[in-house]
Amino acid sequence: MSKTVIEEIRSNIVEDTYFKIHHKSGLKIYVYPKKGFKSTYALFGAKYGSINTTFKDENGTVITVPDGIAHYLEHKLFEDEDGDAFAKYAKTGASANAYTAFDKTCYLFSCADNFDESLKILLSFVCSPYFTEETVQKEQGIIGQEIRMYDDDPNWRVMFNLLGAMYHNHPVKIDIAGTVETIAEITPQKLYDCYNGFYNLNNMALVIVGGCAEPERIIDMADKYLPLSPAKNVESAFPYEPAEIVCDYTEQKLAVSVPLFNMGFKENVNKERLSDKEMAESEILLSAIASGSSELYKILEDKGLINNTFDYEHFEGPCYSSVIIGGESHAPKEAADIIKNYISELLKTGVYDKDFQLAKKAVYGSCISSLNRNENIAGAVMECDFSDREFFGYIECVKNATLEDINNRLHQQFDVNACSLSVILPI
Amino acid sequence: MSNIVRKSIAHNVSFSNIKEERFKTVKLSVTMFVPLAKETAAAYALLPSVLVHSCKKYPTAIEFNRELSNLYGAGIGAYCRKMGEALAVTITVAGIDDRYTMNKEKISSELVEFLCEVIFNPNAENEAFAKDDFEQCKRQLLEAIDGEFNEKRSYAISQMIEEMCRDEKFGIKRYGSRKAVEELTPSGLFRAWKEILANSRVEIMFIGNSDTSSAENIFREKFGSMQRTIPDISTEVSGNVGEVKQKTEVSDVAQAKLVMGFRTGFAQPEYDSIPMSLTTAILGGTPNSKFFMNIREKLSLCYYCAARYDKLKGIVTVDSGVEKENIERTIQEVQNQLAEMQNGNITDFEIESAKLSMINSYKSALDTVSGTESWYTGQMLDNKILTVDEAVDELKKIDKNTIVELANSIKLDTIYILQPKSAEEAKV
Repeated sequence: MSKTVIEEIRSNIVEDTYFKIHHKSGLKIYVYPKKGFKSTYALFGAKYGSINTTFKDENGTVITVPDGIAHYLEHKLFEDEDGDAFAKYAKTGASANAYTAFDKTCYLFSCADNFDESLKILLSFVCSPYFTEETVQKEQGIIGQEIRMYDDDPNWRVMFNLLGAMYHNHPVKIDIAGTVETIAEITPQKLYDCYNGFYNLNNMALVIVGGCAEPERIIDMADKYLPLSPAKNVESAFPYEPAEIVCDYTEQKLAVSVPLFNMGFKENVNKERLSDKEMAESEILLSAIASGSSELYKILEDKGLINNTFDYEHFEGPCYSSVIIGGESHAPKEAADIIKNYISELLKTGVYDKDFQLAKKAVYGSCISSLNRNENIAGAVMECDFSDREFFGYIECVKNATLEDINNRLHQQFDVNACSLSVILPI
Repeated sequence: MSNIVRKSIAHNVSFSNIKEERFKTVKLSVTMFVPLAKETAAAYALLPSVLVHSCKKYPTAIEFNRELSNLYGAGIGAYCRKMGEALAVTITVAGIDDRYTMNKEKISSELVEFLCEVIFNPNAENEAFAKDDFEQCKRQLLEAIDGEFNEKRSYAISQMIEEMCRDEKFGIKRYGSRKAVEELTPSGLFRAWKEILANSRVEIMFIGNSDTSSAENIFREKFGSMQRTIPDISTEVSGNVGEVKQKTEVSDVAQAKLVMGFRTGFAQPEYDSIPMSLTTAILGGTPNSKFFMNIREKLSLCYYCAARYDKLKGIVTVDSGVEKENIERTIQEVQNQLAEMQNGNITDFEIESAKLSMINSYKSALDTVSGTESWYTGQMLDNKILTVDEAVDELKKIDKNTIVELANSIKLDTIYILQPKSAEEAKV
């Protein structure tokens, strides 16, 4: 097994430093000190989320598992043979949680006291799966209610309906928690298959941010509590996804009082993840197009077609990238037509320099502001690890972005023929 | 570590400076406290959004927002919320610290000036706000009111409070009523603006690493030149309940939302609120609480079942999302768990874990700008403002007897249910 190696990474722009540790166990550990902070935040994640539904098991056989299993596994990992992780954290006072995203599952805590003890709990329970018929069965009711809660959430529904309208095959269109029917198929054996497939330290990362983030201290803890993981190639297969959308319109009637819309522009991606530079350019581009300082926002607001729920997002992950714009609107189709026409015109003229300069400053400012919070840093560093990007590289790219870059990105990212609209209407 | 210096700069106007070098941003907030009243709530709910939509210096929304982008994406915040039977109208500006600008520009003084323009020089003429801005913001507030139903969990809680406190000021929505918002006019809103500047309790807070003397001087001069009066800000607190009130609404939802409202009679500023906060945390505030361990983990009835204590009104709200056929059982189980506490069936583990969890959130509060702001602003209507260490000490001292005694003061007042239609009803 290799030795532990420490890299120090410094940004002169933000005046922060973090340590990237290649731990001998196979795990990558990031330690980001925050001087004077009382609390410390720890995030332990696997590069495994709701989209990893088809993969090779230990024998090399390609298997497909039920939708929602990554999320189910997240719930069940909290239980060990010797009890529940929450009961253990109860003795340290740490505030603990976990979440499952499309491409990752993360376990976290934040604490002001008893950091070492809390970290020991985190490392131990994530590394010790324990699933029985009884414990798996018990979770059906709890997760069933979580799913039902999302069924009534119009913001959640409008987005997944949009993903269904944009993606033919990519599992990003599947609801993260699955459905009441798919989770009924989950068994302890299937959970072990997923766990053994993806919860390998070479496929995971640990990020520590805050007052107790000291490299030696964390390495000592990792030496003590992490098993050595054999290097293993985890292969997840994503089906072929055409550049075209599935349909340009979808609607659902729900118990809402104000209609909502999400419109998406699907990008034709030919690699697994976008670079720091492309991510930075997208953020600036979207700020120029759709922020409160944009011409488009003014047009839509003046016409009474949007309100302050209006928002935009660059939605990017393994083998998918799209732009999602939306919010509440009494006339979603009219709003969407204006947005589409605006983008068509913009593709002809390009973004103007004055809009670009303002957007760049605004995005730069939000990068700086996000460094105030331990959890923001930890989440972003984890995301960078899983997408082969570098945390400070992103802000460098924002600072160095040029108008030409932004306009190139505009043409890569927006195709008005690959645009879908999802609407939620009152019953 | 943060260190608050609070001083009076005008009649009923305080300026708090929280010197912080740990953050990469600065934030200035101005909160105006006024009594919650049916006649004025609508105007105070609309006022903050009109003030931050444009101002005299930047008279259109796009010019206004472009100036904020130019200040490195500085954020303007404007909101109005209920704190007991008071309204807190808050306007904030936050932006990056001068140390981090791309070309070392100094923007912190511009942020302060911007906020002052927003508060004191609105886009108004002839004693009325500009009509376009006014109509735009009014439409958006009306949509926000209509949109409350879109978020079922918060909608259900709000409906329960309205039902429970129907005959109290606390039952007034933060915006009064939809009708009152519809009836607002540009000149009426202008009068509300003058009124709140002159007749409110004002708390100004600066969090960051810049010199605040210029900000202090501007506010001292502005507020000092006004004839200011002190409004009566207090909350009526009662621990008495009658027969349990029940309200059910039927809707096309998948999951039922259950909200139960309890009265305790214990509230700030008359009583310290930490003991009741602890009691509520043991009941349903942590993953080791009675609700989480029993209603979720043991019975698998729900994904969440939470208890929250409103320290200014002295009421406890319990809410959960359950299957329709489990509503009655969940109500019964919530009452069983409360009865357990009332009978003294509380373990040392339950008490200690709730204490450690609260100590953790107290000690972590000042690690974020928003946490720092709410630590202090959240205590402005209390009998005294505690430091983190004082709050921790107070919490540690609470014993089981006190918890059992407080649990016995928690009495069910109202049950609200947002109920899915039955299969037959849904077909119609």
